[in-house]
Amino acid sequence: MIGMLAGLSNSVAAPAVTRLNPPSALFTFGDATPPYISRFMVGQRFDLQATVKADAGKVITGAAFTVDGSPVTGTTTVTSIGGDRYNVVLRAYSSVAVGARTLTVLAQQDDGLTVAASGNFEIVGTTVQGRKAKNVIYLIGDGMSLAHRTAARIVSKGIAQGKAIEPLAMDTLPVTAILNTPSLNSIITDSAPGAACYSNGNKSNNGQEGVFPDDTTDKWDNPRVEHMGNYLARTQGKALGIVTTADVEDATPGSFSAHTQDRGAGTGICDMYLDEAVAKHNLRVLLGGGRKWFIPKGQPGSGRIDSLTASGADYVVPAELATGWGVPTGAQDPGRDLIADFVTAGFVYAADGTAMAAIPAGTTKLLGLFHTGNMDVSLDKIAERRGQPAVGTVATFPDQPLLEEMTDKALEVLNRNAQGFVLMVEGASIDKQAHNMDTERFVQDTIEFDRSVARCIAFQNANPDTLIIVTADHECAGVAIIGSSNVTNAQLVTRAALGGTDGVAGAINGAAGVATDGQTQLRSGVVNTYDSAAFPVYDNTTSGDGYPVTMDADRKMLIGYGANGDRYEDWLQNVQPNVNPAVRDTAGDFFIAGQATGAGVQSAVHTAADIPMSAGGRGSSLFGGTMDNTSVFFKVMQAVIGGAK
Amino acid sequence: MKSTLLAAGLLLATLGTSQALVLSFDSGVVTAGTGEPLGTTFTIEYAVLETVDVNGDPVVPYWIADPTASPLAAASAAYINAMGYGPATTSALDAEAQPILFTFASPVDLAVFSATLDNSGFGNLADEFITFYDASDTLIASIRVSQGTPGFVATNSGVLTGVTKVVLPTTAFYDDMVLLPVPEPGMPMLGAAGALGLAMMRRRKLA
Repeated sequence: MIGMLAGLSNSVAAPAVTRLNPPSALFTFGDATPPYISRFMVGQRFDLQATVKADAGKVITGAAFTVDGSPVTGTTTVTSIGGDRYNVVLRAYSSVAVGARTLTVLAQQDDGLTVAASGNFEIVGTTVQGRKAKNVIYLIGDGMSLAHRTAARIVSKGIAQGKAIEPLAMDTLPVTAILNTPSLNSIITDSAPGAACYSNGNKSNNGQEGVFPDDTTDKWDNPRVEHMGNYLARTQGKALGIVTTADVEDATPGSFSAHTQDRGAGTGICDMYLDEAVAKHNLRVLLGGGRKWFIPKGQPGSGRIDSLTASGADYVVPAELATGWGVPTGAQDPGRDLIADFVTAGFVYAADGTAMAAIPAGTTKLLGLFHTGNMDVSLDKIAERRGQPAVGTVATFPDQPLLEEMTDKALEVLNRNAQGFVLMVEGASIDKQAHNMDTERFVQDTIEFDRSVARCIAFQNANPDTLIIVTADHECAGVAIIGSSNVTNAQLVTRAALGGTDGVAGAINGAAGVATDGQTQLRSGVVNTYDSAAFPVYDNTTSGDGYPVTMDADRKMLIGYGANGDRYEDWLQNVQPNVNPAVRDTAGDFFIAGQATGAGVQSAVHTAADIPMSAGGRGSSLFGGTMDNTSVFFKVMQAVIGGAK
Repeated sequence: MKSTLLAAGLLLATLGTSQALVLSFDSGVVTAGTGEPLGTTFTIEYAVLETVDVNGDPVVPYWIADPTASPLAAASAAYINAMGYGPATTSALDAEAQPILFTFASPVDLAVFSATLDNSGFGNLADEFITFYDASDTLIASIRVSQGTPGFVATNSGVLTGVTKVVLPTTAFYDDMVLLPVPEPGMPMLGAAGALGLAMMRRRKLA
C-alpha cells in the first residue's frame, strides 16, 4: 500500500478524504502549528480513522496510515458505510515518540486513483520530578462555576463585614486555575466531552464519551481514545472508582470509562462498565443511581433497551474493534441481570445507604445503585432524614446516601488497592437543578458536594500521596448572585401569593399601576442590590446535620440566571423538584423570559464561561494559570507518572 | 570472586584487583556508605527536583534529597509482589513512588554503573533514564531504562567521569546495583565484559 506514494504525484486524485482522526487543524485548515487539537500520552492508545469519499460507482479497495512517513503496523480495515463513503480505521495505535507527529492516510480506488491527506497530533511525555501522586481524586461539580461556589459559601459558611466566616472546603485547596471548556464542535460543551477530557486528554463532539466523531450512525464503532483508568491500570496497577449522584450511565460518570458517540446509550454504557472497565480499568467502585439499566427487561424497574440504535441502546462493537482493543464484542441482551453479573465478578452490591454502610470488612469491589434513575437531591434527602414530608422520589427510595457518604465508602474500598486509584466524584445535580433554575436545590447540592470535598481532603491528610482536583465540566445556567431579598420569608410568601391578583398571568407588565402586580411584588419590591443586599444569614448549626435549617431564610440570597429559560420566579424554595419552571410559581405572576419553551430548550442552558479549578495534595503544584480543560489530564499524568515537588 | 559484607546489603565484590560496590538490599536498606571502594562517602535518599531558590524565585532545576520524604525504604519481596511488581524472592530498593538520589561527597569516576529492575511490566511506556550529574549539577550521562521490560538491566556503556549525583527514575524497584570505580593508575581495570558479568550473575535474583 505504501507503494502508492510513488504514484501520487502522477495521479489526479478524484476520491477525497473528508475526515481524518485524530482531529487536527492541519487536516481541517491546513495549519500545522500548535496548539495541536489532539494530544496523547506516550503509549496512550487511540484509533486512526479516515472517511474516504469514492467517485460515483467506484470502490475504495485499500488504505493505509503512515506516521511521519513510516507505515503504521496493524490491521487497517476499510468498510463501506453507505453511499460513496468508506470508513478506514486502524485500532489501538500508540507512540512513545514525544513531539508533534504527522499522520497521513493513503487510500486507493478500484480504478487505481489514489488520495492522501494529512493531519497531526502530539505525543506528550513526562519528566521525573519527584514523588508521585499515588491516588487521584477528581471532584466534578457538574455545571459548577464561580457563582455556584460563592452561593454555597454564603449559605453554608456565612459572611459578615465583607468576609466569609469560613471558607468552603474547596476554598482551602492551595492551587487555583481557570479552565476553558469548549468541546470539539462548539463553544458550549455538554457534560460528555466536558468530563471525558479529564479522563483521556482530548476533545470530542458534544454527546460523545471517549471517542472521536466519525461518519457512521453506529454508536459504538467510533475511533476510541484510551481513558486514564485503562492506561494507569496497565502501567501502574491503579484501580478506578466512579461515584455520582446521577444515574451512573450519565455523561460525567460514563465519560470516565465508556466509548460511545451517544451519552444516552445507558444499556450499553452500563454493560461496558462490567465488560470492559472492570477488566481493563480495574473498576472497583461504582456508586450512584441508574439501577434500571442493571435490571433484566421485563422485571419491575428495568430500563434496559432491546436495541442497538434506540435511545438507551445496548452495545455491540465491530469485531475489528474488539480484536484491536482486546475487549468483548458485547451483545444485545435486554434480559441480562447486570447486578448478578457484577456479583459474580466479585462485587458486593448495596441497594441503599444502610446496605452500603454495612458492606463486609475488607470489601475490594463495590457496586451501589440507590435509585432507578438520578438520585434525589440533597435538599430532599436531608428533608426526609429530618422527618419532613418526602418529595420527589424520596418516598420510593427513602434510604439514599448523601454524596459525602458515598465518597467515604469509595475511599475506604479503593484504598485497599496497594497501587493506588483514580476516583471520580460527581455532584451531578448542581447542574441538573441549575438547569431547572431551582436555586435552593442547586445551592444545597453544591454544599453536599463541598462536604464530599472535605472528606477527600481529610483522606489526603492521612494519605499525602493523593492529588485532589475540584472543578466542573462547564458552567450551567449563567448563574449570578444578584443580591438579596429585602423582606422576611413570611413577607415573601405573602407577596408570592398576592402577585397574581391582577389577573394577567404571565404578562410581564400586565395591568400597569395595579399595586399587586407580580412585577411590583416580586422584582422591584423584593430584590436588594448593591449596598442594600447586605449579608444574608442562614442557620447551619441548629439542624445538627451540617446543612442549612432552611434555604428560605429571611432576606435570603437571590439568584439570577443569565442563560435562563422561561420561568416564573417567586424566590421561594420549590416544594417539589424537577417541575417545569415555566409552569411553577405562577401565583406570583412574575414571569422572566428566557430561552423559548417548546423549541428543545425548556430550561437554563450551559454557557461557554471558563470554570475554576482548585487543587491540593501531591502534584498540585503543577497546576495554575489559565489552560484548556484537556491540559488537566496531562498534568495529572505528570503527577502520577513523573511526580512533582 | 571474593565478597565482603560491609553492612546490611552492602557488598564489596572483588574481581581480579578491581573492587565493585554491590548493593543487594537483601538485608535491608542502605542509606550511606563509607569510603570503600569508591574512595568517597555516599548517601542514598529519596529525590526531588528543586526548582526555586530560598526566595521562591525560579532556578535551573537541580536534584536534592527530598527533605519531606519518608526514610529510604528497601521493600521486601512480599511487598514487591503485593504491589504487582514481582515475581520477587528478595528485597529491593523501593523507588516505586519516588526517584532516588545517590550523592557522592566528592566526584567519582565509574567504570560500571548497573542496576537490575523489577520483574514486572509496570512503569513508564516511554524509556526512562538513570541520570548522572557533576558537582555543578550538569547532566553528564544517561543510561536508558526500559521499565516495561521485566528484569531489565541498565548498564552504562562508557566511563562516567566526575559523578557527584545519580538519580534513579521512579515507578520501579531496583536491585543488585553495581558501582565499579575506575581503578587508580597502575591498577588493572575490570573489562566491560567482566563488569557486565558481575551485574548479570546477580540478575534475576528478584525472580
